[in-house]
Amino acid sequence: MTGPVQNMSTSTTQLPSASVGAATAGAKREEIETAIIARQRGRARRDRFVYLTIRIASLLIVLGAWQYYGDHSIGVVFEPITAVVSALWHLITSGQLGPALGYSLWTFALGYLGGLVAGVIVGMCVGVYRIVESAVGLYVYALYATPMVAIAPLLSIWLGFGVLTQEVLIGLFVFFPCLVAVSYGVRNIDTELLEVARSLRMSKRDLWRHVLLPGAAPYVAAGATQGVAMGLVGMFIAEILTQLSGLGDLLETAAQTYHTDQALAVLIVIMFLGVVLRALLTLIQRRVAPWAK
Amino acid sequence: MHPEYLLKRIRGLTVLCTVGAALLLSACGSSSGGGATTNGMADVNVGIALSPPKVIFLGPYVAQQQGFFAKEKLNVHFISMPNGLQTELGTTAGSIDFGFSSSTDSIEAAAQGAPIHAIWSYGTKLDTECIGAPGITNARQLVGQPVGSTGSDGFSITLLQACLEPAGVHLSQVRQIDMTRAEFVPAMTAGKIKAAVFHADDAYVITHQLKGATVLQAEYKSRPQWWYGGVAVLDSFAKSHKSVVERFLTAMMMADRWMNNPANDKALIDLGVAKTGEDRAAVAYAVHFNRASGTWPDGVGLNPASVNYTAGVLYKYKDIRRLPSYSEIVDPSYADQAAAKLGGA
Repeated sequence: MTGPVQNMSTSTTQLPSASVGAATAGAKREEIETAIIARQRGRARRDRFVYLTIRIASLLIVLGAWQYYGDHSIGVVFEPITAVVSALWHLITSGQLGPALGYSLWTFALGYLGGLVAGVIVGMCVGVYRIVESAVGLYVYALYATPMVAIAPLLSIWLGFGVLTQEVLIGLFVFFPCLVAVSYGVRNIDTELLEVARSLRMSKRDLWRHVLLPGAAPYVAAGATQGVAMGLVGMFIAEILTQLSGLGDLLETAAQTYHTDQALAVLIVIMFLGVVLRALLTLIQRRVAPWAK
Repeated sequence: MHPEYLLKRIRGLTVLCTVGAALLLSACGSSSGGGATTNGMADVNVGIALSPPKVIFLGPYVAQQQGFFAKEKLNVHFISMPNGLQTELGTTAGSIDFGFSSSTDSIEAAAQGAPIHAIWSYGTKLDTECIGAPGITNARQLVGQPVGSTGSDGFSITLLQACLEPAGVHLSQVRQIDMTRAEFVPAMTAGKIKAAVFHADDAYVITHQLKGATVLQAEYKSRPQWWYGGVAVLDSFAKSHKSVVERFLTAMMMADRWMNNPANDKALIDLGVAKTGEDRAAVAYAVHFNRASGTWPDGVGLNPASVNYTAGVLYKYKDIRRLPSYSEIVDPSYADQAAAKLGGA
């Protein structure tokens, strides 16, 4: 019996030194962690610097090559970046770009929203209800496989040559990728979650509210992001193939009149627009459905 | 909680979409045209097949700017169309009241029995020029060489023949390479083709940008009988809006007289620069070219010999399955009325 008592007393007497040891160990661990964090930060800084340098270098190489090729080409075929920037400035100051951009963005916004909402609703229904999938699935997938550009001339004959046709066309470009992404997403919601919902005897309303809608959110986000790129394509096709208008008009006019510098300037605006719209969507997605990555 | 958060956002989105739908519907109701009258002015939609327009299409813009349409109590809305086929289809569908497009579109529509007729010509001659790549100064040098074309239809072949035949070269002696019109310049720059046909405005730009490129032929000289462009209307529209059609043509004839008057050169070129987006020199060149060729008619502009010749070529190259008659393609009665009203002043 003395052993354990002795041991106990020993351990009791050793307590202060143990706590000192633990504190030292804790300090050491903290030191190590700080060193690791500092090292990681240093590495991250280095990485950021390296990637930034690579980006700047690649940009300089691309712009340099552009300038060189433009300087050694005839104007109607290709223009140097300096001429393109100057053409962009001309488009801005002459008041041509503003109204065109405004028109395109307005048309895009209406068409995109219409296509997105319709795509999400139909996609959810197709994904959840087999009966809906059986009724409309065939037409949906057949139309999805059809190049929308082929429909543009027909749409303008049926609906006229105004802004409505353009919005419908943009909407169609957005609708199908959204629909397919959402229906696929709903169908692939974790079966365990559905099992749990069933075992909890959830009502249909609660099932939609707690399982289906949150589960489909990442796919809605994916469809919406894909829809931006597709919608921009649709916007240009609509603005060139129905009635010339907006940025499509600017681009076509520049190309048809051999003002290649202006055509390239419009293309830069379009690229910028794509990047901004995508970033905006990511921002909205982070606020609306932060769990959707 | 995710779902509540999501539903709250969805509610917000629903409101946004409702506003969007309302705006969309308001946009639907804004179209005009069809001869409807507003404040004593008839609303009409005019479709122009080439967008942006070339100088040959300036007539309706002149009529608008100079107030000829307003004088005839017409409120004209322009629709920039992507091509002639869409213009004819839009006219047939009733979205366009007056469709300005190539004569070939009118002839093809007539051959298919479409209920439309060409009622006037905005361009009675070819406004095209054949351009030789650097090193080619005569069409005879094109024998065995690649030549750019937009296809094997009657119009494309006619444009090439108009270039080659004055030099005694037959189409079979060159290598015809089909491509889009936009590819002509890069292909010529890269040496892939040695000649191609351009509108006069574009021909000016090419010969001034591509060193050594030369005009080989002004095509209205070698194909003077080719009917270039027509204005089509839906038969039912013309019958129910006879006065509108005649007033429209009166304004157009006034515009042509104005354009053919050299005293208006500066104003015409200013307008051309604004409407075509082309450089001033190119517009000036095309204005003088079109005036020299007599392409802007002083009157009806629907010469039966030209109409029948052009239809015959399309039939020969199997663009159309049957040869429509002059009266199937053209209805000059409205233009006759307008010309009589306008008189020789």
